[in-house]
Amino acid sequence: MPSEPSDFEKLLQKAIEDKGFANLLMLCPSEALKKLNIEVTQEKLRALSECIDPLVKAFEVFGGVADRIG
Amino acid sequence: MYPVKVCAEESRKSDPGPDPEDCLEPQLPALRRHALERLSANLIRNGPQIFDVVTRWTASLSPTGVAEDYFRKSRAHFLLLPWWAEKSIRGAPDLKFQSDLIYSSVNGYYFVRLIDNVMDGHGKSELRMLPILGFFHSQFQAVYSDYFQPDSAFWEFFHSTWTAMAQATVLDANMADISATEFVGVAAMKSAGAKIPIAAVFFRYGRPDLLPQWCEFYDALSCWSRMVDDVFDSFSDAQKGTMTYFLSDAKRRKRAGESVAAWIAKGGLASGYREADSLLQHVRELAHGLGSSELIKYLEYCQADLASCWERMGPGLAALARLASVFE
Repeated sequence: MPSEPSDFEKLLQKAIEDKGFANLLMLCPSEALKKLNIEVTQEKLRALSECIDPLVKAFEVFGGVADRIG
Repeated sequence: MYPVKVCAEESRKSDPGPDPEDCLEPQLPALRRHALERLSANLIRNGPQIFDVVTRWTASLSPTGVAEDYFRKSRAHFLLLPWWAEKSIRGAPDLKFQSDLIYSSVNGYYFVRLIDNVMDGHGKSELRMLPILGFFHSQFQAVYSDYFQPDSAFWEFFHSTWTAMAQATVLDANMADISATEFVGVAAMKSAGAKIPIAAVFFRYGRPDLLPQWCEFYDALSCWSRMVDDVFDSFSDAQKGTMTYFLSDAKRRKRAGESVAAWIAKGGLASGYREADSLLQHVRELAHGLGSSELIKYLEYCQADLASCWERMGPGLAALARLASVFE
């Protein structure tokens, strides 16, 4: 049985696959975290405010690099 | 799955950019274009009612929507290696022979791509295309009949290599955990079909003695190429549940309670990049014995391109690593 995804994995996957969620994450991160049943803390909100762009663009950062090179 | 969808959208927006391989070999684009035109002509003649299906599929594979662009950049090397092999032994390649090899390889690649996509569960439309494998395979193999008699030693190489590739593909699909040894064996053999046109060059000109060192080089190149795929596609592979050596290693090396994605962000990707770079150094060392200055230049470009991609990923990766630390 595959293990339950961690909060980081849930956040990463949802931010990439769902543009609506990504927008919510930018506008109201606490609501977005609640939607994923992730506990909201000040530390998480602060980290999100600092890293939101790379998170939303995570696939642009990582995806397709292998296709361009390998 | 999201990576496929997003990747396709993003890829179509991007210009493929300059091609170092086309700069190295200016005749390549015309031969590549001719191969695709020949494929279309054969389909129109023998299978006009599947022409549209095949044309749409080949265009959909390409980052630009133009079928021939699929065989640029990261897929150019398997068209170029037979060219460089011939240049290394006789200076100027025989254009008709190389044109035939490229046509064969394009069909061989489509044959493998269609099977891989179906095995990866990409979509029902490709499942319904499976009978077209017969066309691709016949076009791939038929070319060699013009150059080699049935009793030629070339055919022994052809059949053993093609079967070993099929075996590696089946083994790879059934592996739940991939060790370093298994990675080397399977990664090298999964794309072994590209050694067939290289072998054709050496058998045609009576130099099969040179084939082992080119095969050793190609196996190393395949390992490097597969490692780059595994490392840089690791987030999407993890989401899709695709097992790779890199993800197997991630599961072995991550801390208890740490997710694979967090391990990748916090150091795993950097470790994978270093491993890929080390494999490429080995590839370059092997290339030096093959007598092709163009091949050396091509590998230098690959190394610089990989380093440049890694540099661009740095800030985003650092941010994701910070998020991983806070959320886990």
